[in-house]
Amino acid sequence: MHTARHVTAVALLAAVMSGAGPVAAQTPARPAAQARRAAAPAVPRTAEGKPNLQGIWRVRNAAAADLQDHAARLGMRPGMGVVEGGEIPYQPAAARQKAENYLKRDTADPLAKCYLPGVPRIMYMDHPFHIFQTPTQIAMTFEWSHVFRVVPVNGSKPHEGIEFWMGDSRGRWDGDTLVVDVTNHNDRTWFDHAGNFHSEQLHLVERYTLLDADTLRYEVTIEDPKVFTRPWKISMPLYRQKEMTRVLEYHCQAETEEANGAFERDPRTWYPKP
Amino acid sequence: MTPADAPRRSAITTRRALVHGLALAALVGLPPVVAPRSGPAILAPTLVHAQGAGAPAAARQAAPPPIRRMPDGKPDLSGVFQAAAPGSNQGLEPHEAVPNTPGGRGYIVDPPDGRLPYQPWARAENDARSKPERGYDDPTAHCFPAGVPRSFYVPSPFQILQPPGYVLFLYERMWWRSVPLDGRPHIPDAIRLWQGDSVGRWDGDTLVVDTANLNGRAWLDELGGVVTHAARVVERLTATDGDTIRYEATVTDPNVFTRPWTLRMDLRRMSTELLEVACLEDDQDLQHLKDVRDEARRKQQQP
Repeated sequence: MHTARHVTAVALLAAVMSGAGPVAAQTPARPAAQARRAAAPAVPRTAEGKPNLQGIWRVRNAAAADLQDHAARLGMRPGMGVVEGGEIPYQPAAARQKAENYLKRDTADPLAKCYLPGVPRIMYMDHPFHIFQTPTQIAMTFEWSHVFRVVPVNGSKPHEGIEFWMGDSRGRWDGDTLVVDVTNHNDRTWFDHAGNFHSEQLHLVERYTLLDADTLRYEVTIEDPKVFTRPWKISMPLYRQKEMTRVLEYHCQAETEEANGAFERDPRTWYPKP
Repeated sequence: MTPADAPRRSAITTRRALVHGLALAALVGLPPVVAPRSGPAILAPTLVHAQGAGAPAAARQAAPPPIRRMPDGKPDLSGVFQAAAPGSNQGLEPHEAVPNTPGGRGYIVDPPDGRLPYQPWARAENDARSKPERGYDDPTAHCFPAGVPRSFYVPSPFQILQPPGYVLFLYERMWWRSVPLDGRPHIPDAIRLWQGDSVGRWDGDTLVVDTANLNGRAWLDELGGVVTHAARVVERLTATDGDTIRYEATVTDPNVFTRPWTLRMDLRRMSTELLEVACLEDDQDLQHLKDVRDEARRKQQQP
């Protein structure tokens, strides 16, 4: 975080919130007030006083290729890891499975078939997504294949006995952090293209915390007693896409079929003429 | 139905398999239900959902609940709904049931004859697409989005949310539309999308959604209703009581029609949450449709 930019943003926001005009906003805040606000950064809030997460967000990392430190491979951008402590605590058999997944990743990755990516992978794919917020529901709409998530924040309980590709998400506020329990996963999604995987016993606790108006910390605690020896954590910032006014669409299956010619289209009605 | 069946049950509703006669035996373990998710039967307690069965049907019939409103006084359309429009996904014009294809009473209110005002080429094109061997060409058979207006009557439930500045449509078959209400213009003409680009406004108590930038690939229904990239769709959503939204869509497409036309159907509130349709999961239907097409082609090529 660049301090000067941060202070400006805080001052601007404070001015807007107090109803002051743009002239007042340019007046530097007094040092004492500055320090106080820096300690508890002002974030946009909803009418109900909750942090307002609404907007278009995107990661800037290569976690979708591999959650861990990795050099570039064909189709995989290089990147620093997002796993706390660096290691994913696989049980021995699971570690072998992961290694096998990695070798077969071009075809074994569920995304090769455009399957739903699951959570948390959808959150750090290299595509923007839009968070919408009402007092009782959070929705996320993703550019990637029109995927969406609905997170009830109304005290409701997960479905019983139903598995979902995208899991079952239930949210609650822990102070200024949105905490989402994600359960009811199937065992067919991966965490990344490198073959990091889980079973249907996966349980996620996601934590969304606004660090400032344009930065959202995304942290996930990952538990799966069939695959890992202990819970482990990933965390990364999501950045507000201020230049974007809309999330468009990248439809995986449509692009794939177009690329391989599987779908012979009717030329009369497909695609506008140039 | 056990809870564990539910996602697979919803997945099967995405299939045109029933229309063109895929043997249900190939879908062992899947309950043969499509109808319960379309039409008034949606309130029947056959669905398994966390929030229970909701208000008793008798209470609903006694007095429809009043229109819900947002704090700012606008109608509150939020909730889970499904079109009460049996057979609409198999044709918006009146049509009789044939084996494996539900009939429909017709949903076109303008022109008054209830028929799509096709130009001759487009009527011929629709007829050609309605043949079983063209089932493979229905984009939804490939798990592509259904476009506008078909997304509302595929038939599957959808959820409406009204976050500040937007109306959001989340369709259970895993595609969505977001409708900004801030008066912004459409995106540049060269960007063409399956779900188009929608902008909205309130006209009194009616939400008016204008959609452009469609990519022209979607079909109006499973039997090949024709629209092109030139289509403009204006949808009007009006709450008529707390559990019902009247849905109208006016389609203008000078490539296809001799005049604009309008469909109308009711959207009924469901006392459930959305599940998830994973269309591509174990998709055997597309291969079946391809087989039907390839068989027809072989016959055509034989002298």
